[in-house]
This record gives sequence, structure tokens and C-alpha cells, in this order.
Amino acid sequence: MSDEIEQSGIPGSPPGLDELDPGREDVWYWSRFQERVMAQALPELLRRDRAARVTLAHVMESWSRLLVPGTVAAAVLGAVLFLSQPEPAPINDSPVLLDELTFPVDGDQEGLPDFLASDDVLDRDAVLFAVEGY
Amino acid sequence: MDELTALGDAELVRRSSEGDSAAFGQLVFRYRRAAYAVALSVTRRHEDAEDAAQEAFIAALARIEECRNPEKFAGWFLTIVRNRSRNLLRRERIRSSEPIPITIPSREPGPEKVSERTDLRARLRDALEVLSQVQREIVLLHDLEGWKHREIAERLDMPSGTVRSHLHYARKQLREQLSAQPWAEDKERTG
Repeated sequence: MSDEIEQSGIPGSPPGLDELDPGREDVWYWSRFQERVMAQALPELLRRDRAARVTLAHVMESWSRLLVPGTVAAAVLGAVLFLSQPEPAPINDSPVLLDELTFPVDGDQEGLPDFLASDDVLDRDAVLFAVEGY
Repeated sequence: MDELTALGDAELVRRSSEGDSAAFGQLVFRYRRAAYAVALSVTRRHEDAEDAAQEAFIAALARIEECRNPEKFAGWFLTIVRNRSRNLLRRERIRSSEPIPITIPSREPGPEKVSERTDLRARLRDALEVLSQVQREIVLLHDLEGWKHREIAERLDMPSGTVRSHLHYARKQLREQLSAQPWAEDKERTG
């Protein structure tokens, strides 16, 4: 481990420092160390795990708290609008259409009174008679 | 575990903050030895270093949101280790006015090596005592934990030249202290 240091002029590792490693003779030392730390950390880890889960559940709950009433309100509104819509008005036969049926516009003069169909100069009395009946 | 090993500190920090015990376990695995080395450089007692390192992991988890630059978790975490160790040392000093010698775990390696190791540890303790705290920290991180000087510089947020300088003087002093001992010369000769 000290090669690069020694190459740079720094003295090599002094002998015996590994004596200070508590795992040198006790091979299970570091395993026990790890276990002790994890045992002490367990309550905090559990608290954090719970907090993380609660946070997720809380987000879902908040989301559903908005979504469900919103969906219900939209459905109710849709139903009300659907039911309150007036019945469609019956298709009116246009009088114009009837007139067109009655009085074809293709030049057929069959339905016109005689005095209108005539090419002659209109007689005032004939017109009055035809319109007003006298 | 392989997947976690490949993850960077930032992702492990993020997962740990959400209570992912495997991610936090990987952080502990990655930095447990460094934490111990830094704690030992401050407390100079095995038991205190062990306690401080363990406490530091728990403290780091409790305030992991304060790690504003998770890519540099190591530097942030080792600052916690250092502070915890100093606090522990302060408490120890309040309890007792006696100087605190460097101690290492009491183990029973066998009767034939007890004397040799006792001597070695005593020499190491004396040698490390003459170093400054930062020199102890750097030499322990480098020679005990195997961190490269570039890693130390990056993780301790220290110029690389400063790390090399500290390491140079720390090793020089340690060698001077330890080389006076016949067993050390023998050990060096035999590798």
C-alpha cells in the first residue's frame, strides 16, 4: 500500500502498526462491530422506513382525496346536464317547402288564378274581385 | 451485497435516509475501519475508539439529511467520528485527570507471544503519542486502513501535499521511535 509513497520519498510504513487492528487476531471482531452498529441503528432505520412508507401512502391518499370527489362531481354534473337537456324539437316542415310543393316554381302556372296567369293587361276589377271577392 | 458494493456513497446515503438497512450496512462496512482509525487517533484507547466509532455511525444516521454533499460522505462522517471521539475524551478527562495511554484490545494470542506483543504495543503506544492528532489520523488511515494518500486528501478535504507531508513526518517519527528496538530491526529484516 505504501509503494507510491515510498517512491515519492516518504519513509515506508513503520513495522507493527497492524498490531493496532483489532481484527488482526480476532477474525470476528469487525463482524461483531458491524452487528452492534446495525443493532443500535435498527430503531432509527425502522423509523425512517416507516416515514418513507407513510409519506408514499400520504401522497396516494391526498391524491385519491382529490380524485375521487372530483370524479363523482363530474359524473353527477354530467348526469344532471344530460337529464336536464330539453327534448329535441320536432322537425318543422317549412311552409316554404309546402308552398314549393303546392306551387312548383318551374314555371308551371297551373295553380295561379286565371287573371294572374294571363298575359293580358290586368283588369283592376278582376283583381279586386279575385282578392276581395267583390 | 454485490449491487450495493458497486453503489457510490451518494446513493447509499440516499437509501439509508429512507431506512434501507442494507444500504446503511454497506456504509458501515465501507467505513468501519476508517472510523475506528480516526477515533483511535483521537482517543488513543481501543475501548473509547470502538465506542466513538459506533456512536458516530448512529449519530450520522440520525442526521444524515445534514450531509449536504453525499458524494463526500466520508469527510462528513469522519468529522462526526472526530467530534464524538473528542467529546468522549473530554468526558474521560473529566472523570479522571490521569493521562490516557493508547490501548489496544486485550487478547490472548498464546503464552509464547504475549511478551513480544506486549512490548510491541507498548512501543507503538509510545511512538504514536509523539505524533500530533492529525499525523496519527493520517498514518493510521494510510497504514492501518490502507487508504491511499489521495483518498485521504479527498475524504478529509485536505490538500494532497499536506497529507503527504503529514505522512512523511509521522512515518519518520514512528520509525525513529520504533527502530531503536531490537525486535523491530529483527522484524524488518525478516519482513
